[in-house]
Formats: sequence, structure tokens, C-alpha cells
Amino acid sequence: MRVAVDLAAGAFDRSLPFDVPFFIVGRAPEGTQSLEVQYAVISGTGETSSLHWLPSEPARWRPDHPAGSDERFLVFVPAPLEAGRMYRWRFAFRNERASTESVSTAEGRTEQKNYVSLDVGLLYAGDISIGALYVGSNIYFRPVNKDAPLTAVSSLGRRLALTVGVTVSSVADENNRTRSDLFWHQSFVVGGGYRITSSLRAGGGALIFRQSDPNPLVTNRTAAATWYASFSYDFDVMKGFLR
Amino acid sequence: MRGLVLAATLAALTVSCHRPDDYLLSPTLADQVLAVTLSSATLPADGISRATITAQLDPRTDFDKRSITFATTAGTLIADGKEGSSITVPADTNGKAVVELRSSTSATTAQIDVTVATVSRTTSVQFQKLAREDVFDISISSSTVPADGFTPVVITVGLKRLGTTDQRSIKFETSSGTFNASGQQASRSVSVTAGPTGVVVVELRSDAVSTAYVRVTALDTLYEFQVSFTALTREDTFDVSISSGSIPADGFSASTITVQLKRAVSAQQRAIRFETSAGVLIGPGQPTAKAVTVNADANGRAVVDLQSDKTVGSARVRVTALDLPYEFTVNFTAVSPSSVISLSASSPSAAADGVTTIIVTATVAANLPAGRRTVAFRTTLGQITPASVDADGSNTARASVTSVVVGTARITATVDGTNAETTAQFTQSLPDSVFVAPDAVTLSSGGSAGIRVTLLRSVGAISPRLQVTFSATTSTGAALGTFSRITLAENGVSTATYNVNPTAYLGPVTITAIVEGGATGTATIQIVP
Repeated sequence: MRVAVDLAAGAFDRSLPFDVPFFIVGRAPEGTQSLEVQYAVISGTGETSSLHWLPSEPARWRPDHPAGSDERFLVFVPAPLEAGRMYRWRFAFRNERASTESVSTAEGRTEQKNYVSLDVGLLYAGDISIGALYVGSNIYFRPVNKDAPLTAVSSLGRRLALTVGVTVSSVADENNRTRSDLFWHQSFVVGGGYRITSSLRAGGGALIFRQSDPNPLVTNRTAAATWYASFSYDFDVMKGFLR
Repeated sequence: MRGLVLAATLAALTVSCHRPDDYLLSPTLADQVLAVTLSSATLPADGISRATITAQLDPRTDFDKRSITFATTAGTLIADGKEGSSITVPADTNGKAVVELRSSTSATTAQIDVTVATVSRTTSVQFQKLAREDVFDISISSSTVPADGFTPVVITVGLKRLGTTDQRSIKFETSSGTFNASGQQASRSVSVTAGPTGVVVVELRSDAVSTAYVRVTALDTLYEFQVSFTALTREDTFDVSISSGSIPADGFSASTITVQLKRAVSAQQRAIRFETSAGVLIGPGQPTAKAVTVNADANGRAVVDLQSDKTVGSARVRVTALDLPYEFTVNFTAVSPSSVISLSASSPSAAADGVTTIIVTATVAANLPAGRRTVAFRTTLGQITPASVDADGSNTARASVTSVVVGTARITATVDGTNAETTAQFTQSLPDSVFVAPDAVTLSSGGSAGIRVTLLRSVGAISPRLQVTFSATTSTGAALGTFSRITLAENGVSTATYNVNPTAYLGPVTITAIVEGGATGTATIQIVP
């Protein structure tokens, strides 16, 4: 993954990747012989007086020859950023003639919003012994980079998500004897899921539908819930849009 | 996003959990949907007792599903003034509906289905058989009665519980005899509905010697007993008396046979049959016959007469009452005709003048029946009138006999084939006065004159050929002359010729004509020179 930095504007062309290593590309000043790149996390208050630059061993770009005009540099940032942070990046260029170091900074942030994905799966409600297709959303409580390997860092937050959706197939029984769908032919699905792989989830929760009164002489129906277990496919819709 | 999550979470938390087991029709759920309770699971099978069946619906039950149908396999359901084996009752606002179940009269188990829409509950009430003592009392006047078809066994049944009219019906059945119940024909099986008092009285009778097995059924409860109908004896049933064991064989004498029933009997049983081998029986209002049937009066008394025939012998008489025969003998004895008819004349003799009568009186037996009391008279002399006449109330019949012929009349009177005879003497009818009429008032000596004598009688005719005797005497009383050519008086006239012999006598001569019997007449002829 690459992000481009406009040193003149002090900004990146997009949100910074998180949870994965990435490359930073930009235009090096002419004659640049090396570039060191570090970043520091800006606190939520915006305090920049005591920035702690990371990594201690900066990322470097050393071209084989001094950079020409409009030559682009490429710096690899191996340590993944954290999501939901503001970063200040320092680009320290060294010129062969002046033997001086010019420093440019740019600020960028990683994704701030919780991650929401499309979830399509098959649930099975054990108490009512019925399976159903459902479609819904997985709402993660933090940003999630689907490109990040789940095993690379602590992945619990990237695995767990709240699932909200509706069934595609009816869960009503024959003649709606004991239960019927919550509306039209759909019932409400709410629960949680654990991403097993990048896109495959196992989940569970409550299937909310309408139940008949056990008294056959009472036709009033009420909402009722029963547990379910599911397997689903987690679609990264936003990524698709962005691409 | 957080709001959506929160809403989803709240929705999941606020809804109730779905429990499929709740839909299994457990007893608890069934009672919650429709609870059926009984005030009693058992009832006496008397058709009267009631149990209350309460159906309780879940108060949340839809208002259009609150019609509760009760159906029973036995007994009768009652609610809201309706009754039947099936009844529908709307539940009240609390979901409660109440009906009553009235027991049947047969011991059984009533299965009661309580149905609301698609929900049905079943319960049962047992109708327990009642002991007879719990259903009715019964009393029997006697277990042994005569088989006379009249004497009743009075059976009184008193119901201990009063139900509907149908339930007050009591059935009586017998293997022998018949029941008599108010307003019903006699039958071996009758059903009587008890009134408000619950008491029914029937009578059982039989004219056959037998044992009657009697069954009384009320509210399907039986009671059986036996009644013995015993044979009657004649002595127990009736007495027979006869006025006479021997009666003249005159064809009308009768012996009165009286039958007196000794027990009360029905109207039909009052018919008493009389039969005889001889003579005839005379029943009131019936033609005479060898056999008659007479109904005893209200006092049980029947009377017939056995009338003898004219053959000496005996009559075997049988009297049958209540199928019990009784026989006896009445002798018909020889009879004297005089006891039937006697004949007498008012006078032993009478002048045979054709007017003077002899009254003959026939006296007939007083008991000679009407129609046979005509007395026929006949006579061997003269005329008798009338030739026949009915004996009057004094048992006499009279006839008059006249004759113009002198002689003995043998008079016979006949009644009912029996004769009686008498005789009457008709004597000559003599003149009361005699007129003597000579042809000449003077007669010379030696001369003769005819004499005409006329006989006169004030009543009737004079007998013919009466002899007239003539005599002629002078004033001194000396006979003078003779009579010749004297004729017997025919038709009251006799003639003779008086001949004066030569005589010196001059003067009157009295001619005397004496008619037999004494009547005389005289005339005078002057003898002249």
C-alpha cells in the first residue's frame, strides 16, 4: 500500500493505512541524497510540544544518485500505525551540496470511524430449529483494515463486531402457528460475530420475530427473541467503493 | 451508529424469549386457555340432580372467540333457559361461562366436551345408580289375592324426588294380570305420570291363577316383586238358593234360583250364567231359554226362575259365576189337573129356554203365566160363550151356557193343555101361563069342540112337545066328556078336541089344560041343550 505525501501542502493524499506496513511516496527535492522519515502521534489535545518521534531508527530512502528534478522518493514504513490517531511525519532530506538537512513535515491521520461491513450469512436458530439466510451489517467498534493480517497484532477488536440485520428467508412456521416474521417476510437479527478469517465470521445473537400467543384463542402477537448461531461472509463494501 | 446499536440492543433485551415448549398443550397451558371445573364429578342418576360446569377462558381471549359450546353424551345441559345435549354459552367479560348438567336416569358416565373455537376440553361426570330406596317408596296392599279379575293389589309408589314431567313417569309391568290406572286402559304395562305429590297408585288384577312378576321402574330404577293370584272357591265366591227343590211338572210352575255374589266384582264379572237340562229359565228381560245369562245387580244378586216343563222328571241346573260352576237338581213332580184348572157351574140346572144361562167358572192356577192363561170352553149341549177367554186377575175365566135343548151339558174348560169338566142340566122350559081357547063357547050334548091351548113364557122359548093334559068338569066337579086328538105342544100350542058325551047336564063345563110342570089354564064351555 502506498500513500502519497505532498510536502508542500504538508498532507497525505488519503488517510494513513493502519495495522499494515506501507510505503510513502513523494517528491524529493533536487539533489537529495537521503531521506529519513519519522512520525509522532499527536495527542487528542493537539499538543505538539513534546512529540516523540518514532521509530527511533528512522525509515530511510537513499537513492543511488542525488535526486533529480521531480524525482520521487519511496519510503517503507514497516511498523503499522494505529487506527484513529493523528500523526505528524517528519521528512529529513540531506542534500549533497549543502550538506545540510532540510526537514519537512506533514500530518495525516489513520481511519477514525468504526468499521461497518456488509454481512451475508446463514443462521440457525436452535430453539425453533430453523435456518435462515440473513443480510445485515457488522459494526466493529473500531476501524478495521481488512488488509491487515489477523494474526499480526492483537486482533480481538478487529474480529468482534455487532451484527444487525434481517433475515432474507422467513422464519415463520406453518400457518404462523407459533411465530411469524417481524415484518413482511423478514425478521430482525441482532448479535455479535467473531471474524474467523478475513471475511468469514461466526456469530450468534438474537433472532427477533413475532410470536403467537400460546393461547390459541388469543390472536395478539408479540415480539420474541430466540438465540441463533451463524456463519457469514463479511463484505468490505466501503473498500469496494473506495476502489 | 451508536444509536442503531443501542436500539438493536434494547430491542433484543426488551422482547421476551420465545419458548417453543409453551406451545405444547401442557395441562397448565390447557387450563390457562380453557379451564373446566365441575361442582361435582358424580351425580345421582336420578334425572334431577345437577352439577355446575364452569368454563374459564383466559381473560385475554379474543372477544370473537368467547362462545363456549358444551356437549354431553348423557344427561342434559341447561343454561339461559335452554337445555339440550349441546348448548352454546357466551363467556362473560372475565371469560367465564357456566352451565348446569342435569343427570340422566341411567347410570353412565357423561363425557362433556367444552369447545371454544379450535380448543376443546373434555371432562366427565359419573351418574351413579341410585338405590331404589333413594328413588321411590313402594307399598303393596297384598301379595296374595284371589284370581277373580276384580280383587286388586293396590300398588302405591311415592317418588322421593320430583323432576320434570317425563321424569315423573313410572312404568309398571307384570307377567300376569292387568294394571288399572286412572285414565288408561287395562294393560300389562302402563306408564303413569306422578303429579305434584309424586304419588302414583295403580291396581293389579288377574282372573287367572298365577304368579305375577311385577316390575316397577322409576327414573330407571327397578323394583320387582311377586303377587300370587290364588284360585277362588265357589263357597268364597257366591251362594245359590232355590225357592223349591220340587215343583209341579205343569209347565209353568217355577222355582226361583237366587245367586248372591259374596265379593265385589267388576261389571263384566257380574254376568252369571244359568243352564238347565229341563224346563226353561226365565231371566229378567230375557226370553225363556235353556240357558240365560243374568247380570247381578249392584248388590251382587241375580235371580232367575226355573219353569218346569210338563214332563215329570228332574232338571239339572248349573250356575256359573266367575268361572266357578255350581250344580243342583230341581225335581218336576207329577201334577193334578185341578191344580191347574177347576171348573164349576153357577147352577146345576137351568131351563132350556135358550136364554136362561148357567155360568161356568174356570179357576186357573194363579202362577199360570200370561199368554198361557186363555181358557177354552166347550159344551156338549147348547151354546157356550165365549168360547175362550183369558183368566182374569183373580185367575178365573167365566163363560155362559144356554140351551134350548133339554139335557145334560158336559162343559169342558181347557187351559194350557189341561182340561177341567163339569156338567149342567138343562131342563124343559115350561110356560108361565096357559091360555085355553075353545072353538065354541057352547056345546050341545054329544057335540064336540076344538080346544086350543097356548103356552106362554115370559123368558126364553118354551120347550117343544110339552104334554098337555086336559080335563073337563062340571060345576059340581064331575068329569064330563072326553078329549081326543090331543097334540103335544109345539111352538107353544097344543090342540085337542073336546067331545061331550050325551049328557043331561046343562051348564058350564070347565076345561082345564095342565101343562107338564104344572102350569094350567082353563076355559068354560056352556053345555046347552
